[in-house]
Amino acid sequence: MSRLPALAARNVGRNGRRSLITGAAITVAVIMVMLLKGFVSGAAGLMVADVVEGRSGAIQVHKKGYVDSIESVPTRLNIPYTPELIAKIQAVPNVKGVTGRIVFNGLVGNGSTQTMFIGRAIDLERETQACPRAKSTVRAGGEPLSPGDGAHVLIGYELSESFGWAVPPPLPPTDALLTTSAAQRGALVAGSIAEWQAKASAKRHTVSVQSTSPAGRSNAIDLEVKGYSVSSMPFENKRVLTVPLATAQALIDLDGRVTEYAIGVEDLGHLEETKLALQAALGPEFEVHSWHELNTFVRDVINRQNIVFSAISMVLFIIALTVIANTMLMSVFERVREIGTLLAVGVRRRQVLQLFIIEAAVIGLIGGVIGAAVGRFALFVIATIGIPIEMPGTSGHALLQPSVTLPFVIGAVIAAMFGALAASALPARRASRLNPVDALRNA
Amino acid sequence: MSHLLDLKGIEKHYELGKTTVTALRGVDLQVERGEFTVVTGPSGSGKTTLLNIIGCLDRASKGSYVLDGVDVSERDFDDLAEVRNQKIGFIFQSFNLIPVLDVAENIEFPCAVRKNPEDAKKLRARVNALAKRVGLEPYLRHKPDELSGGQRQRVAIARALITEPRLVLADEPTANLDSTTSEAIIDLMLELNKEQGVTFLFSTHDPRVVKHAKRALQIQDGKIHDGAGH
Repeated sequence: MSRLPALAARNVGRNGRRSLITGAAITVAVIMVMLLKGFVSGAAGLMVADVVEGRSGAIQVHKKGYVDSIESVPTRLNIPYTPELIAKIQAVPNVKGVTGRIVFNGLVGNGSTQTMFIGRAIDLERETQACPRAKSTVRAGGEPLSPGDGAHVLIGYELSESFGWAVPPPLPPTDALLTTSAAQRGALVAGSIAEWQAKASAKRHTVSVQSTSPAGRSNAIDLEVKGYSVSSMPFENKRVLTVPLATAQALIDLDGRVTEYAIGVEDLGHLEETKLALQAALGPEFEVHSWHELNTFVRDVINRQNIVFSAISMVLFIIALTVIANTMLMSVFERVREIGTLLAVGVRRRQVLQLFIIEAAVIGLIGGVIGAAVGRFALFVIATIGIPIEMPGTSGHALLQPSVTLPFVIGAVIAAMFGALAASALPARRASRLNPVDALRNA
Repeated sequence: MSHLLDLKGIEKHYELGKTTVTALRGVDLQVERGEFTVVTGPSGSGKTTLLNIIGCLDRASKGSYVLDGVDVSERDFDDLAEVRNQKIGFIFQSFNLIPVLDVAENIEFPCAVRKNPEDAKKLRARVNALAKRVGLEPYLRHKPDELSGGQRQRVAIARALITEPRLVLADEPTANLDSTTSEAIIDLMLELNKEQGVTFLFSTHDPRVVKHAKRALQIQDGKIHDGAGH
């Protein structure tokens, strides 16, 4: 077997400081990329969890044509809400829970001010089966709707401001949350909630909700405001009301019917298969969409985050590659006479090229593995502690737990190795093109 | 039987900007197998250029060069690398050992980088035998920086001989050694020349080397003059 790989490996250790600098550049780049990816993934995970588990569900079923005209809130495109249909959906593998909803619109007023709203009517018995975190969308100080509620409503907290009502107090500053212990954080949040609850419970507001049935009949109903919903979507904070399903069915003459089924799944990784299975089970008069098809805003935010992440990663990568190329070039300059000796004893140009490329790959692999190990450990520690962040739509505060997948870690190591290899191509080629006579003359 | 080296009308020109410098002017030289020959001459006379061409490290601008019956004048770079590996051993003034390899690894290196290297055990046995012959057996696991100058040059001699070459080229092999060590190195090369019949060709200024040479070539202004040997 050729001695070149062993020689390359020993050359890595021969100039420890240079190899250390090169390896450190790769290690730092890999750590930075992993941390960045961890935070981006963690934040995206929170957003997806907020949408999937807190609001839309993983999948929704509508009457055929509903999503195309979703902007006009087409209550005429309603579907039966029956135990048979629920059972049929529930029977599809990976389906965890099902609930029915009505999305409608109309006018809401407090006696002196009136404004347009988008209404979301939910089945209070089943909602958490499809969206387990649905309750958490109510801002601290209010109460979520609960089974048995009838003439009650949750309104977007900014809508409440437009009525001139007391606004829930701001939560403790984020820096206070970050610098205190878990117990102290809990006390701070609980203190704020208790303070506002005391004020809010003193007076419950009532709103008048007016809407029109699919047949065109207008109707109005007075509802007691039970809480203030918050969402990551500004529009929802300004315009959305949430009411019990039966209340909306009575208001717009949709007894026993809904405009959508929201579905929770066991494993988001098999979303597409579940979607196809549902479509097959329900037939062509229904349409089935996944959360990212319905929540394009969230999907776009995640895509934008990924673009920014890719751009930053690319910059880090280029910096690391520049360091590698520079140190490899220095290594070539310092070893000119040795290269001349290799060529003199019969080593071919291709073998000299291989020698330097193997050296770079070894450094890249070691630097990448160390970076991946340190990065993974750092992410594990951060995820274990968790970073409390204020996130609309997740009960005020959520715990960011950055993480990266194993394939990403392996990919980062491979990228580090091949990046080092690519960066060494030019210096290696320079070494291999040396003229042996000139190289041997080099002092 | 043909000569080991047969150079005819060798010229070497270098372009230095707009000026052409001529290092060799029509050199004709034949060297027989088993010769122990030195090339002497003042600095800039062209002896290193001649040795580079003979060692297939450089190519002549004009003329033909047949080494061991093979015309190497028009061979490409990789072919010349193979010729160097198979037929020529090099001994350098500054030893030129590979610092990260130990003595045994340095000696076996030219064989180990071949396209089809021989069996590792057989190769290591030859290395051990050669190391014993040049007096390096106790130092096989030492790195070059743990050896004296004379020991390093012995490693270089062993490395030059491990491929069983037709020709060993030595460029000022005693220039960096003290007189006692130089004598020992020259004696070793003479013994190897006698025992193995390997052809040695030196460039040197050292009168002790010239004294032992069987044939001395004087080169001046790019032309060669065949002088008397001992």
